Amino acid sequence: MLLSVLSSVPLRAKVNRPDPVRTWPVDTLLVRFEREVRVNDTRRFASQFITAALRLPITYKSRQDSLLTGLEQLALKSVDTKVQQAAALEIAAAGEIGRGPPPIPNALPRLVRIYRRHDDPALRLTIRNQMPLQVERRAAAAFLRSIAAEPDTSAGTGPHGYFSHGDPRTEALARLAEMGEEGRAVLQAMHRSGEARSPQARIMLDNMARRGFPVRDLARSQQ
Amino acid sequence: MMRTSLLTVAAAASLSAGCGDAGTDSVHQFGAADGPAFSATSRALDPLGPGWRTTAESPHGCFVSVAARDGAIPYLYRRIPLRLPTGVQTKDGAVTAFRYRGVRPDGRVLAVLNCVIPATDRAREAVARRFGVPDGPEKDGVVIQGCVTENSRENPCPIDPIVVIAPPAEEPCSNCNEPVPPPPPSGGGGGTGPCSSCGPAAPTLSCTSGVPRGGTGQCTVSTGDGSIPEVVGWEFTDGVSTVTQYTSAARWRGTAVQSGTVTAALADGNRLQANFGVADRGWKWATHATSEYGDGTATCLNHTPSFGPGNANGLNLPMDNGASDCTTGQRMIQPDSYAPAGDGFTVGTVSGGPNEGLHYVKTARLYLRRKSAYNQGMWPSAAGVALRDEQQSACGDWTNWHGFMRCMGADPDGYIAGVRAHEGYGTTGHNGHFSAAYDAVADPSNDPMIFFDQRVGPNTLDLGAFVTNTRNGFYPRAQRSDIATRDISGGGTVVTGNWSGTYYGWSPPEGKFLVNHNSF
Repeated sequence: MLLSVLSSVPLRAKVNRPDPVRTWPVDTLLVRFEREVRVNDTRRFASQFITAALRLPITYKSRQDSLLTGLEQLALKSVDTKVQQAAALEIAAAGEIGRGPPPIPNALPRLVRIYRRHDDPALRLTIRNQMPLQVERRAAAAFLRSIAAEPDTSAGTGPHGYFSHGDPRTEALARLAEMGEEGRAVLQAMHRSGEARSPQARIMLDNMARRGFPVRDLARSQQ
Repeated sequence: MMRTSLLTVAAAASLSAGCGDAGTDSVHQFGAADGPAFSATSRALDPLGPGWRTTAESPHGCFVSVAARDGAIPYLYRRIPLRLPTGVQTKDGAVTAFRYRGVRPDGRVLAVLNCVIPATDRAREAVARRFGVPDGPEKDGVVIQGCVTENSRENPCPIDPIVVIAPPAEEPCSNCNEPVPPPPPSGGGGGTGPCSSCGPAAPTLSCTSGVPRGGTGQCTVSTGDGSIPEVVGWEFTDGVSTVTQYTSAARWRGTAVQSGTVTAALADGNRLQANFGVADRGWKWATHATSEYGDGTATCLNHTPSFGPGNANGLNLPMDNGASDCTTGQRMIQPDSYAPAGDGFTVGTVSGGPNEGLHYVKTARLYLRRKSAYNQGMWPSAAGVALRDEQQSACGDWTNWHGFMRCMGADPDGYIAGVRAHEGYGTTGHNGHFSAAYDAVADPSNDPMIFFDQRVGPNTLDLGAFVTNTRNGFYPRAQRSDIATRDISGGGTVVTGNWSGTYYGWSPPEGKFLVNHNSF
């Protein structure tokens, strides 16, 4: 009887192994992360471990700080653009609204530092794209505003003229339009003040004003 | 409690196989009806006692006696070779005794396990895990007693020594002394246990291979002769995730998302291995995503071509923009996954089988839907402007941009064709905005559909981290489309070479056309 009862109950168990998220040295995680990105490994195990480590409770703050510092160094110093972008995305995810545990503060200043110190357009685009999701919303909007206000010294000729694909000013305005009421307030302020120094930003702001500054809120929909 | 039961299960199942190879090594005290007894002196196990002789080929093993259920034979007995990974063994081959027994409240011994194992903690853990001992009081008051000893007189086992008592084998095999066949080649095949030439056929393990991710995969232990295989547990590993299930079921089945190695643990101590193969679903941008381009379907531009602000003669826009909405800035690939509602993929976690707990992308639906707008002021039918001075003398009082370009010997139709190419597929089929975005996203080394197809998350991570990381993997791939479609002035390198020549642009403040060389 005992045999028949027990043999009908399957047991499931996970073997206890070292948990990479909590126990692997930070350097090991970063080295594996860099390699995975370089070789385009779609499984991205180390990357997933880092993502999970940055979602751990606040008791792991020192580990998270070390990871973020390492990622910032990768974003700044790696010679591989893919690694730079992937590292910046991990930092951005740590400071993103709507993630499980409370977002890690001070992710945004790291992103701004990377943006200011790096002139790679792909890396800069990566960082601009992440701004609407950042929990440090006011600072993110101010950062986009400063980009949107930058002058443009290009001739503005060609079929697009000033509306070139890849223009950081108009892209920054588009990202502000994804920040809900906070973004709308910044766009309205920029339109009122005339602080946008490029023709394309001024034209786009006029266009937005004519349409009543339509916005959507990506971060709120995360919550 | 469950673990203790495994001792019983494992032992009983192994004994029921019939062909016990107890003949030469066991100690027989026929007729003992009251269970395994204990020898009078410790010499019985010195070294490790009679019947404990091991060989170089099989240095570790267990002797098991289990109370028979039907009572016809008090105890069933079998010798079980242990095949342990080299990682749990000592370099010098040192062994130790591993002895446990289950005793009922009335004193009747239900099962005895006497093993010779490597003298390492890992070996002790492995053997204990395999037989599920010790784990405290058992159901119905059965008590597990036992110890692991270094076989040292200074470190005696409290129940030392146990001697297994066994009846003669019920159905001796006539050909059990034939050589044990070599283990099968690894990968996909099965394994055989000892004494495969008599009694039930040696069990084999086979697993599905090539199951598209998300389909159903399974592994099966079979004997080939219809007898019930003696499985006590299953394990899957891909080097990162490990899934273990203790069950006597001969089939392990579930959603397949990740290839790896499956091991079936048999009651006789054998472990069968096979590859569990999972194939990609074959998702590709070209065949599984939506790419759509509407040439000139937007009408938001209408001005005399110029150089100044607002001078665009062509725009590549999102398909969903209103007809008069010239707003740019939306990312090329949609949904862009910058919000849950905007994710172009769904995820799932496998609920059972070898890949239980692993995460994967269940569905993905993405699109590149763009359209172009052309400045209607370029058409021959467009409104004209008043000319003056030398331009009036050359081309008349009133003309539009198209007429003026022709008047000046420029090529307005060539320019318009260049603009069309620039916004769409380009003069080569690859150097327009739309084709550049498409080529970037359909490039196999960047294709987000391939990425989604292949994404698998370890079972040690929560689903939220998997989703976040999947988005992080998707963003740069989609972004590469945005970067590839950039104009030269925006830092791009692909969208160029569609037209080059003399261009006249209207200057409202000066009331005349200005000339410049233009290329795009």
